[in-house]
Amino acid sequence: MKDLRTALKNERLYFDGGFGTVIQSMGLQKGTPPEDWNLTNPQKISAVHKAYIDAGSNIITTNTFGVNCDKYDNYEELISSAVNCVKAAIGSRSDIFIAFDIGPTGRMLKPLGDLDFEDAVKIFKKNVSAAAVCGVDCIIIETMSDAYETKAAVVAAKEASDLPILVTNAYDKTGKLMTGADAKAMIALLEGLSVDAIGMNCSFGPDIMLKHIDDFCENCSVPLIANPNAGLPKVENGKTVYDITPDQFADYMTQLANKGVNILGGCCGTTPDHIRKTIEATKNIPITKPTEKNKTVVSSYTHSVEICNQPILIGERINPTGKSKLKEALRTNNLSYILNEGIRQADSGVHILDVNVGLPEINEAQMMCSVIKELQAVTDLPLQIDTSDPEVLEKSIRIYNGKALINSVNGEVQSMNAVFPLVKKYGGTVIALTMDKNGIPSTAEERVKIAERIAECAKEYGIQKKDLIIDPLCLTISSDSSSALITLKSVKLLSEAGFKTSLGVSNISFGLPAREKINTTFFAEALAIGLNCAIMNPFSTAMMDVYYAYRALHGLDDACLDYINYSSNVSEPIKAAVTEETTLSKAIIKGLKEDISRCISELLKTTKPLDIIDNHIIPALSEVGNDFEAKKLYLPQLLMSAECASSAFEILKMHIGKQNISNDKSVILATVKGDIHDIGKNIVKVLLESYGFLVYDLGRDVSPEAVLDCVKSTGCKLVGLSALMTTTVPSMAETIKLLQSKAKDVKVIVGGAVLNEEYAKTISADAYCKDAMEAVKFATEFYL
Amino acid sequence: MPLDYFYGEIQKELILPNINEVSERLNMPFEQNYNLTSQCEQKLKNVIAPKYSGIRTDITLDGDKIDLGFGVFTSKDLAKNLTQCKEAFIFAVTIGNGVDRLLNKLRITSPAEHFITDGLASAYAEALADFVDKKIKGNTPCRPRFSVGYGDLPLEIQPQILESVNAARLLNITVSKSLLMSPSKSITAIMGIL
Repeated sequence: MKDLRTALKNERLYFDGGFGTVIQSMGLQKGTPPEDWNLTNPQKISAVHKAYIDAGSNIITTNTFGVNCDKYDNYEELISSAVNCVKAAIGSRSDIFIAFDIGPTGRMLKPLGDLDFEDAVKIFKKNVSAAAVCGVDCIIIETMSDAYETKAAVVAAKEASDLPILVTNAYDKTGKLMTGADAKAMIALLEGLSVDAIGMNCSFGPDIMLKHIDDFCENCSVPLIANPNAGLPKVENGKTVYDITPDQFADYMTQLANKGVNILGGCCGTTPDHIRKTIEATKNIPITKPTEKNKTVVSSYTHSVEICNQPILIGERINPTGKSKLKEALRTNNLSYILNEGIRQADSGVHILDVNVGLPEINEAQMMCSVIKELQAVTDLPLQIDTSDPEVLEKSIRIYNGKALINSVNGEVQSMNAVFPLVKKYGGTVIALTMDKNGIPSTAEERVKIAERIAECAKEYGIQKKDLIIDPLCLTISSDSSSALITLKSVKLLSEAGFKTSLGVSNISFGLPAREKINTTFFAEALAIGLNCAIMNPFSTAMMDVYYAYRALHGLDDACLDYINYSSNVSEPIKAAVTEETTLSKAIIKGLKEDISRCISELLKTTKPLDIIDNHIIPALSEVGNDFEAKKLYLPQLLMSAECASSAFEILKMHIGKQNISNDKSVILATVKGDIHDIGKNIVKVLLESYGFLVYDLGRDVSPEAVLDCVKSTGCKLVGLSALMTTTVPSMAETIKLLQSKAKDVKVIVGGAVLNEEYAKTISADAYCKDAMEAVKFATEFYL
Repeated sequence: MPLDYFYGEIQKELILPNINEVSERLNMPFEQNYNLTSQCEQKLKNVIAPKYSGIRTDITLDGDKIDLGFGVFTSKDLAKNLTQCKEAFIFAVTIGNGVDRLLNKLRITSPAEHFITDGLASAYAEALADFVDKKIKGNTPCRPRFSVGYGDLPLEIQPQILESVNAARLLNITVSKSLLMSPSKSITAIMGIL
């Protein structure tokens, strides 16, 4: 038997075609899953496989597209019977490969759905383990329209076997997956995971695939696969047919082969005829040997960022060093604050976000994973995982949706041995610091030597130079006046040696006054000498000025359009005076968030912070609340006012001594297990916060145990539960039951469209709150 | 069995939400118009991607027992709606998961915008269902459309409805364990043909 990995690189290979559509024409009843026939009609299944073998296919996929342990208790039996059906069709031939087919689970992964990444990995792993013992030759992961589910399947396949892994995804007409990934992002992810071949399947037909194949050919360094549909179904003379005939199909496939796709086959609607004609038309077309594209790329779940001619900005704000508010947010698990920093940086124009949550008093691994998951739910920028702890790196790189940038490895053997195996397993591009057990060399040449040693070691782990970015380190000129020159020379020499480079630019001025002046000048010089990536503060207008000006000056900004756009958007801070009309109360009542900061600054000149709360914020909220109940204003305005009040509280907190901030008025909020509706809960949260309550928001789909854990860890005595579906109200009852047995002194209030006073009583809730204001009233009275 | 198939992407400019639907969702009279509502609507329109898929299929009715081509189930209310119908349109629509991503972001940055955008998005999904309803039936007289969750039509048949219109492959609609669709602003419907 040939080695498939060798065959993939050197031969033209042919997958089989549509399966479900073919067996439906053989009598499979609508609504009956195709995999049922593995047990009830194995001869018919084998007959289909044989038809494709006779047509010339040499990779036959098992009839297991819809099989997994989530859907079937007898998944192992279904898998082994599927493999046996293929073996029966192959007979004594030794030139046919059996591909174990893994399709989507049918469930969406979090945050858009309810399936956890690790649960998805477990599901796929069981499949692969079951197939591996049956004697398949490879794994084909197909038709997934989500990068994250694809990653889960590949990780599972790698952990459960050594079989070659082929991946084809279902791209839409715009050339993207449903969750947004384009071809470059998927190639970055999948090549990082070391899959053996990549491509497209299903979708809307080979004509659509032809439109997007160039992206694959230009960016992919492994063999390409195309398994398109035969178009879309239609009804002709009472029969369902697909609109692309075998001859038309073969014509498109010829074009795909000429473009460089070596592995061809079909999907929905294709038949043995489609495959036969394709093979006749393409078998004499020479293959295109895959070539190394040598691109330094990182990716998120939607797009890739290539480190090349354009300077890349890495936002540095999610790092607790020197940031007391961020430290506080990490200690109190205030993810909203952290996510807001991420979103603000993304809106400022950075290309990648650095994520560093290293604080001794917290569980860094847990926090890093939470922050990465939550950040990837609100921004599609690639992330830089910034940690010196290999355990943190392992856990976070595993769950990262895309190909991460990793900060960092250094020249010490221990560091390289800890980091490189993880990069090899999960993919990634690594920032390599030019330091080793002897410290940071004092010359540029020695730093380059360390970079070269790191690259040699990486090569031994199978990691190419393109996946390293060297950081020659900025030491502050306040302690060594030659350090800027050494760093700049290092960047130059590294670029000449073919390395990509990165710097934490602001380190150069540590300990000096007016740091921005040094930082901006150094940044401009580093860019001019060839720096590829800068870890920097995107909220510094001066630094962003340098970035845009540099690009305009160096021909990296066509017609200076970005510079012009940037310049017209950067305006003087609004200096409008706070008039008598624009008071803090008015700003809260009218929901004018942008005026809050200015109003507070004015008031603080004459009024103590606690008096501002008592005499301005609370009365404004009361007026808004009364008008809401009198139906003089409506929920959107109530929320806008509440946001303003919360924003005002946040600013005032910084001016109030810690001893005056009371955290004993707290509430835990959660949408119960199985339910992801949270509008009502979020309204309650905003109002409670605006009234000064500390809210522990556990989010959506929260298990009873998680609620209990929060009660225990915070000591909070008031819990609010929300459910919007009749199917999830039992989860509410379960949660209350658990709390009553393990935390008897906790009170539970409930709300949600499907609830009422009566039902709340039957599930032993302490109160039913019909709207957010009632919840605030209950909480206020509870804490009196 | 399917007698016809439908699939399409609709230009977002053609989807016009019903004002009453919007005011109901936002809990305010339609003459109230905050600047913020308009801003939220603009951001929403930037991310919606309206699509639909559907079939025309023969159906069987036997009292409360209904077969739409994927197995028999019971619903007194749907059976009443489908009285004397021998065929039905079944369709699914979605405005896409760009909306869910926007809502995820707004959940963090602004609860007010999140509330408003969520309400608007639901109104847009309904408007898309109205548009597709008219487009699919043309001049064919039909019963009012009926969705899972109406009356006693059980949520449990949602996966089969989606399967029958190939929603997973054409619209990328999946269903969670608690039978919620993703993208969340998706609607399925059954329309009996008179």
